[in-house]
Amino acid sequence: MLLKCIRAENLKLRHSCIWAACVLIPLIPAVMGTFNYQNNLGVLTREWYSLWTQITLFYSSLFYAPLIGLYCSYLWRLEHLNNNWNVLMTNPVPVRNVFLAKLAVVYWVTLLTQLWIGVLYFLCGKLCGLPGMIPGQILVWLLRGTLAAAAVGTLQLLLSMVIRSFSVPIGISLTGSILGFIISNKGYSMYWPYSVMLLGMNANKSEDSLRHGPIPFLVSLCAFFLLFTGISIWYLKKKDVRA
Amino acid sequence: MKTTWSQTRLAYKAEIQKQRCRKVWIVPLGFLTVLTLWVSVPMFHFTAQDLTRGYQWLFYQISLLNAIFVPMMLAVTASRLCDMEIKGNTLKLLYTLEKNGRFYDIKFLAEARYLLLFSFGEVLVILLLGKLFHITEPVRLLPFGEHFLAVSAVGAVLLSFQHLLSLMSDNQILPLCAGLAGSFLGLFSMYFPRAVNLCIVWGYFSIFSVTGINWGQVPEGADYNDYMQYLDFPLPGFLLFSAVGILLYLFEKGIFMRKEV
Repeated sequence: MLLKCIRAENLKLRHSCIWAACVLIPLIPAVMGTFNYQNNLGVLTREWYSLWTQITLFYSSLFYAPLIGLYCSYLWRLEHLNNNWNVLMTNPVPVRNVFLAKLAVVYWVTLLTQLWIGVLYFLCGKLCGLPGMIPGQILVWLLRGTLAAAAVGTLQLLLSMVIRSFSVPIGISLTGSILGFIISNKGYSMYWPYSVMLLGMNANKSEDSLRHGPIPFLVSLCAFFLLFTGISIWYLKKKDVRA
Repeated sequence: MKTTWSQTRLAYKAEIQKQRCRKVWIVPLGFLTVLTLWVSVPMFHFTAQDLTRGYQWLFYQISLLNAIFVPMMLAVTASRLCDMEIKGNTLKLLYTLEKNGRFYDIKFLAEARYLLLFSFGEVLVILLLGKLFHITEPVRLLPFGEHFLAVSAVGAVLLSFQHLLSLMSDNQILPLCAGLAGSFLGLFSMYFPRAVNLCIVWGYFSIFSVTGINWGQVPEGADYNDYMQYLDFPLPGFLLFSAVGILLYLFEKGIFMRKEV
């Protein structure tokens, strides 16, 4: 049943301009980060790691969460339009599958975005003349960042489901990211979903911020994921639709 | 026979009615709150020396942050107000009641009041933080007025662009992406040479900043805050920018008026 729901959600993304956003938006932090790196070669001496700090400074702090917010808003916008809520809620499928299918699709698009940023990082590194391949540790950070999208993805899906506006949840994701930057600098990353993402990506850091073990990160991630998924499914079950 | 003025007033009233219970004011207020939090955190560690140039520092930081915050805030505001017409497919009906040009202007005015609210809020935030953190620098009213003018004018030009995109796009992804991209282009433009910087409208928050740093004078390792100073407001440049902004608005309005509904 869930697979069928995922297929249905996937169909909704066909020929949508979400793919353009997925490809074009990550280009901006990649170019900005590389430009910054090239201009500060005197200070940024750790090659691939230094380039990572520059690209993730812009990408994780300011672009990643709004991008996920954009994907979530798009998926829910289709339901907010033309009384589609009525159709959605009268489908003979459990509401948890509706939500989880949307989450799976958001996660799939996010995974592609992360792969794309990885490719861009590699290309920018090569353009800057960096030797060898991307260090394995950075690939782990990229993977961790993708995992962390589960926390923000569920929160953004919840927001986009409750708030009928397309743009407001995206605005919230940007402000959340910026607050996340402050919270992260204060050392409370585990308690704010947008900071968990920064922690996962090891944003703007060349030393691993999770060198003492990934357990707190994973616990925080699971807690946010379960909390927001639980609230969302409860909301879908209990609240009447406003078509 | 109703006069043009009374028709415009009625149309504006109708626009305000549409915004009832939509709580659009939360958008500028939310962005203002985050901006306040951002600038106030370092102020807890200010020394007596820092407090003597506290307002200059605030103007400088807020101008930088505006490049990130304002384009996105305007994209969200414009999209929220224009999307109601797109979602409801109301344009056909609206055009039987009012001219499409007037509708475009009134909608823009309804959005611009949130921009003004934000600009005014920023001035109040600077004054408030000055009182809260006991900034010892004397308050000079002129920079406050110039800052308000600069944020409002640059914001209005950006808003006109977002306004057009939001009304023209059936899918609001495009205006939101443009806002997001604009945010970072504005930030990034500060790294560009001056000539290129002048071509990027999102970067004008820093161009019209009332304070600045002469980076050429800052020695290696020195605190750049020591070299911060009030700048002469570039009035001719500002007037030229405003004139180009008005022409741009008229051009955008022309594009919208040709749209088939």
